[in-house]
Amino acid sequence: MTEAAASPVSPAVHSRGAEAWRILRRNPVTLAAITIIVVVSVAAALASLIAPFDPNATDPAVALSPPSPHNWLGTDLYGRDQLSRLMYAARLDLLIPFAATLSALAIGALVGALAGYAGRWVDQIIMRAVESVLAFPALVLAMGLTAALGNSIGNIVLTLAITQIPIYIRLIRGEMLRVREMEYAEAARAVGNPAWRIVLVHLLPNCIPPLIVQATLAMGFALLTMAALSFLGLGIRPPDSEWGEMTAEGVGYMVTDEWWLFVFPGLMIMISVLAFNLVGDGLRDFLDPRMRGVRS
Amino acid sequence: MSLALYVLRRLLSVIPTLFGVTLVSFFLTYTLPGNPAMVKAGPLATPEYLAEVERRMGLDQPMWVQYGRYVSGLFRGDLGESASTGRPVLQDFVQRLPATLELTVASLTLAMLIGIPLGVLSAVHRDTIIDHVGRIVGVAGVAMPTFWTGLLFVFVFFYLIGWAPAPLGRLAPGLAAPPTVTGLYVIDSILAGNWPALRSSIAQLALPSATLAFSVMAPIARMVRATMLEILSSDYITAAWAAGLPRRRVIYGDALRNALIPIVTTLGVVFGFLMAGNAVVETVFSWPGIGNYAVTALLTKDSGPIQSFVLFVAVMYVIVNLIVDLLYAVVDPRIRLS
Amino acid sequence: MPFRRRDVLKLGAASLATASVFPLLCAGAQDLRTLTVAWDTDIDTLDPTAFKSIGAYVVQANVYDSPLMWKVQPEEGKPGLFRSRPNEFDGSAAESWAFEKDGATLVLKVRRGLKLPGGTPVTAHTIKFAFDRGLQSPGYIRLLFPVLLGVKTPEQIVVRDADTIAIEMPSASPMTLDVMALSNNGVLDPDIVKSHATDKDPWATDWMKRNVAGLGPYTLVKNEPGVEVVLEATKDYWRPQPFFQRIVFKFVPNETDRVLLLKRKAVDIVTGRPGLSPRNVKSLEGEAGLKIFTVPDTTCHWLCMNNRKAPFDNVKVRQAINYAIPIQAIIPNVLFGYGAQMKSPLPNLTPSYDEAISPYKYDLAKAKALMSEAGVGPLPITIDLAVRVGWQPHEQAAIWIQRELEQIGFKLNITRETDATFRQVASKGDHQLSIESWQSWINDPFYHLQFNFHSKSITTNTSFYANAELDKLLDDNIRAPDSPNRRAAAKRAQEIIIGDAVWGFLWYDNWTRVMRSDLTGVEKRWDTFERYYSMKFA
Repeated sequence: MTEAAASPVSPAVHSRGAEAWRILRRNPVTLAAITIIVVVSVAAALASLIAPFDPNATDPAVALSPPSPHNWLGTDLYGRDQLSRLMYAARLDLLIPFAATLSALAIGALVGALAGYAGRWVDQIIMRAVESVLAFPALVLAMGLTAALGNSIGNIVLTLAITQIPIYIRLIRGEMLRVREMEYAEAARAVGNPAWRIVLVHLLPNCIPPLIVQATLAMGFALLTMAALSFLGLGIRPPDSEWGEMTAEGVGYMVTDEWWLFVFPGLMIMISVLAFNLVGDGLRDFLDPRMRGVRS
Repeated sequence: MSLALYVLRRLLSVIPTLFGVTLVSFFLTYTLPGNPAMVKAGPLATPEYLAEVERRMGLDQPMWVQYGRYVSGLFRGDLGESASTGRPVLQDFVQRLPATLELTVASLTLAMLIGIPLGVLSAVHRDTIIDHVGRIVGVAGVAMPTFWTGLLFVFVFFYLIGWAPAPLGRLAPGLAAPPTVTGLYVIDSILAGNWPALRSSIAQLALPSATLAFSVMAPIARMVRATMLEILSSDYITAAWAAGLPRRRVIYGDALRNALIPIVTTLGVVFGFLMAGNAVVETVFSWPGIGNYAVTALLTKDSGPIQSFVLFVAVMYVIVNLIVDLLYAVVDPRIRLS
Repeated sequence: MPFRRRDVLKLGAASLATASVFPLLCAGAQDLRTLTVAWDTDIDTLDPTAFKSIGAYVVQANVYDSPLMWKVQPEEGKPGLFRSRPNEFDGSAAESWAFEKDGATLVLKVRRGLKLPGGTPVTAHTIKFAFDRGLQSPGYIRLLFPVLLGVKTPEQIVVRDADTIAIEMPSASPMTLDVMALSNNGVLDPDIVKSHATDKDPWATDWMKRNVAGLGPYTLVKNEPGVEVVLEATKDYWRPQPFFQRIVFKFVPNETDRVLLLKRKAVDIVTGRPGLSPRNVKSLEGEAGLKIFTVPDTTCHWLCMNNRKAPFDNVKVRQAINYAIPIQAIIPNVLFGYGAQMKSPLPNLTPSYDEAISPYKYDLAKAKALMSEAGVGPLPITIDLAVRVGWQPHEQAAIWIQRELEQIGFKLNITRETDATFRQVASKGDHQLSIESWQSWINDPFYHLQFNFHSKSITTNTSFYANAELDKLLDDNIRAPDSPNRRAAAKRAQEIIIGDAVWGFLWYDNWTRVMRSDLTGVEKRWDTFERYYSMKFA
């Protein structure tokens, strides 16, 4: 893998890409999932251009109207167009988990690499700390952290990141233990590379694949955690909206027949989390040579 | 190394983890905004009374002293007092714990009853429609927010169809609880021969455990599928088939038995999942467990219960993982030798 | 192993069968006539003198008798509903009352033959004990008696003989009898309470937090926090036994659940604050088997501006905000008809209410003009607007308000705080903008004005408003008997407060309860806490 990355136009990369496309074509489900994520991301990015209404514009005249040609997905209590709100909410719903996952990845990878490579007592201390935090189920930890830190967007990203970091530390550490005894590591050491260079340039890239799988799964989980926090009253502040908060508010309308407020936001969460999970699954199958072998 | 030595080593390694857990839970509640003394003293308290309450609660001491008080209190079983119920937290906890345990056990059982066969079927009919549908159904459960699923179930099965009883707690209004032996109403009713209570407690458990089970079916099914695939392609299974052993017996007998070990590991993870999901489901179903207790405490800044809930969940998780690891080691000698 | 699939099917069939047989099981299970109430609150303290949650107040109103009670009359056009009228009282623990010295002394005659649950007779000493305790332990009585009655020390409460007690005030107060009717003045059992007193806690405040010891139509038999509270009718009560011998309060934290429970008749009535939001009440209109009792009430909701914090210390800013509040959108879309616009700091049912004084209405142009006159800047000004989690009308009004205030130069962050945090931050004076509510137990204009606007009422004057002229008006009139002067003073007070735009005027709530259509005997008294004694199924 390292050789291929060094020369991007080598035939090794082409055949790998072609191979990936072949596998994707045979896995329509994973392909569909990736398509969904792409569509949602594009809609979110272009929201200001393609959304039919200002998501915060109140309009008492059309309050609580069902889906209609005027408002495709209906309106809420304040007359705000739901389709526009869902589109703008998509930004937060993709950005916050993404930011949290990315920062957790970065920190977790570095600390995990340290633990795995340095070994002995450094490893022991870090792993004990990781286990202490991992003992708390993510939602419980998130509840406590949000209550302590507050629910601004930055703090929610921080909360979600903190719940993920220990997982990545453990993952990377495990991988690092595996690769540090391999031949190319020995070779790099023999040549006289300093430890940090060995870790960052040679070893860490080989630890990435399982991390990617975990990260995609984590995106979905972060979305669900945000929704649960909103339901418990600890979520994002208005007028910023995200799907979880819209769903949590929407469940109250289930009994008053405004089904569109209840169904669509929940559906968005479900579809997105489903998509992330299926992509993660697909990636895991793709990257695990045993599975590949069995399938082909 | 011998089994006994492995067990000892594993037990010892738990101690620093538990220590870390108390640190985290203490720190969490220490940083909660708001003054727990004010909650206790009430809004009409004079400044002198407030200071007195603060002094009694030890809030004027430096952080490490408070931590010391906290830990020594843990050893004495003193988890503080709840401002909203006015009772010792330990008492509240002990009273409410069986409800959560019963819900967790019921959800886990249900998840296994559905998830394991689903995983087996997916593995046996790999890459066919059955596999894909099973995969999507399982993953759909994980992808829906639990409060959404829960309220949807209440709306459909209680309100629209009327199959499920009212989400009013563990027993129908008017029925007395069976005499407490374990605190789990299902078991206690059987022990007491109280059939109306048995029927009612199972009926009340139906929706909340279905909600939780639905959200954790997928990891179980997925793990079963992956493990079964690995085993089904292994040598001795192929040999058994070649030898002409009945297909069903091979799958559900030998293959599944070997798949149980990683499944048990997954169950440990799922258990942690369930303990977290409990808070939301208990709120939706008015289930009088510790999750509900913790959410209320969180919203009322009642620090005693929050600390205790967080701590309890973590300790439970550590213990469950310990048991799983030990079982693993007993069954598979390769583990303790590594 | 092979049985697994069959097991699943069996379990499924069993659950279905159980669920269908279930309602039949329930019918015979109750031997006492029971009323099932769903609420979203808890009992935090049972001490009559202490500040407490709604749930605790409702329980208190049903387990303790006060010396007097507000009389109720049938409400026209709403059979089954009874309401209190001004100045109509019935005896309760006291069977009669009289005034001496031109109203400065209230003489109560203890009801003959009245006994505490243990059998001890109730005497004037029993009643005095409750008053003494109130005056000397932390709580409401220590606040109310001096301000409203001028009673500061136990020496002013005199036992004349075994069944006569006199309350000696410096002068007559128009609210004397109302104070006697407050549920905080419950009759206590002195022997039991004293037996739990300690040196550090001479009035047994710790014990009374969790226990009831006194006389009332119901007795607390079970208090399982977060699960249920059960009251049972007191045996040998001095009035005939109530229809409902048992009241069960079920804790149902989720509002959607409460609505579904009502619709399915699994509970008989929903109470609490908030209980049910106006939106959900509206959706239950016309629901078969349910009925809605709603009457105008004195609960006020307003946008609270902290008069001590810039820019709300500038009167023009406050006035501008009053012109920016989209009240004409809020009333129909938040209250759905279950409330009315607030046009004065006084509730519209309170004597001396004057709706003609206020000029405020939704007028963005005027609001913007006032903002530029105020000269605050630079715009936009970032402000936190705090609302309480779970109070849907407040959360919804906040969104309407946020949108409009943004047009006149504010950037609002809506922060949702839990009850406990909200009260803490408010009493420290740290809120800039928040949505507050208040209900005056006594429907007297000066009671209302005193606690909300007097500069000395620091715990309840949430706007931290201070006006010397207003203070004097209140001091002079709070205990004065009704007269044209007093009414003029009330009018002047409203003029001052409205002119100074102390509050962002929002709305008055109705008192609304949704219940089974055959429930009658529902009583609404001035303090809004329902008493279950007279309720019955028609």
